[in-house]
Amino acid sequence: MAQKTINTNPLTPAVFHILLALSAKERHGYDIMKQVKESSEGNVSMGPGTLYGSLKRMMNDELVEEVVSKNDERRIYYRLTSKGKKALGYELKRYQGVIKFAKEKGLEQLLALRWLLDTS
Amino acid sequence: MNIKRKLFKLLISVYPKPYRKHFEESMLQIFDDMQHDGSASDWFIVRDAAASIPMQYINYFEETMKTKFQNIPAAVAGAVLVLPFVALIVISMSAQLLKDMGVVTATSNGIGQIIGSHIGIGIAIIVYLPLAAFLINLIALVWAGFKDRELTVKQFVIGNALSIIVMFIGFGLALFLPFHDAIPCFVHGTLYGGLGNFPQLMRTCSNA
Repeated sequence: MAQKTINTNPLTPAVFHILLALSAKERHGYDIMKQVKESSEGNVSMGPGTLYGSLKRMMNDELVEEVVSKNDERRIYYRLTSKGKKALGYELKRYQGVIKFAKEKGLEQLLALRWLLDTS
Repeated sequence: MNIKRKLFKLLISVYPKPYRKHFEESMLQIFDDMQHDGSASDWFIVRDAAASIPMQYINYFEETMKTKFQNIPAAVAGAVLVLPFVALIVISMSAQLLKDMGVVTATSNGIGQIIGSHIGIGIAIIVYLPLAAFLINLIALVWAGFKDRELTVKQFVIGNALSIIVMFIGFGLALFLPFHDAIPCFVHGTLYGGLGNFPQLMRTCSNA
């Protein structure tokens, strides 16, 4: 029997941080925006247009879905689907592999490289 | 409603309609939240819209291509089938034009002369291939209509525009040989005599 395949390609930073934001709980748009900014340390900053553009694409890919919250019916909330959870899992595993590799090679060197990049 | 909100609403109106329909309320909600918190500058919002509007149009176009334009293989197959006849017409007309301009003196410029003694091939190119193009697209269109019965006439015509065009070209070309004398007769008779004496016109032109 054919199994439903999961796209294991690396996620874009926006998609990754949205999935990460929704991993803890379902959130509405503005909450996602704030959480993404926080988790990316300000490196990924999305406005309403890019946020909903990403969410639309993610809904098409069945990574997230809309829910109407019982507590706040005015807003549309978003939550991860099982496919979204798996995609986030794959991505975190990939990061884990990268970190492991970095540790094996010596983290100090990479930190020095980052310092160089930041100052250039 | 304050002026900034009005301007933002105007900016939202630039997005593609399906996107706007789905997300307008949520975007306005975010705008209100951002204004309330003072968490984003006006420039940030404009920049965000400038980046996302073209992206949404690209996505919209891609989705439209996927969902709206159907029967592309049938249209392409039909176009390939009518191509030899179109090529014959172009060659014939070019030869006639060159002859009229005095560039060449050749007399073999009609389609009949180009085909020469290859009558079988000629009939296939002029009648059967356009007829096949017509039938392929007709079947594809009937199938498309049968498959999605909730489409409006407008949606059906837009979605199958290429197939419909090729179908009519195929139909027109397939009629060329049997009626190539009758058509000018009918057009001429209608122009000068009107449609008042239609049965007589049909009788006359069917013998043309």
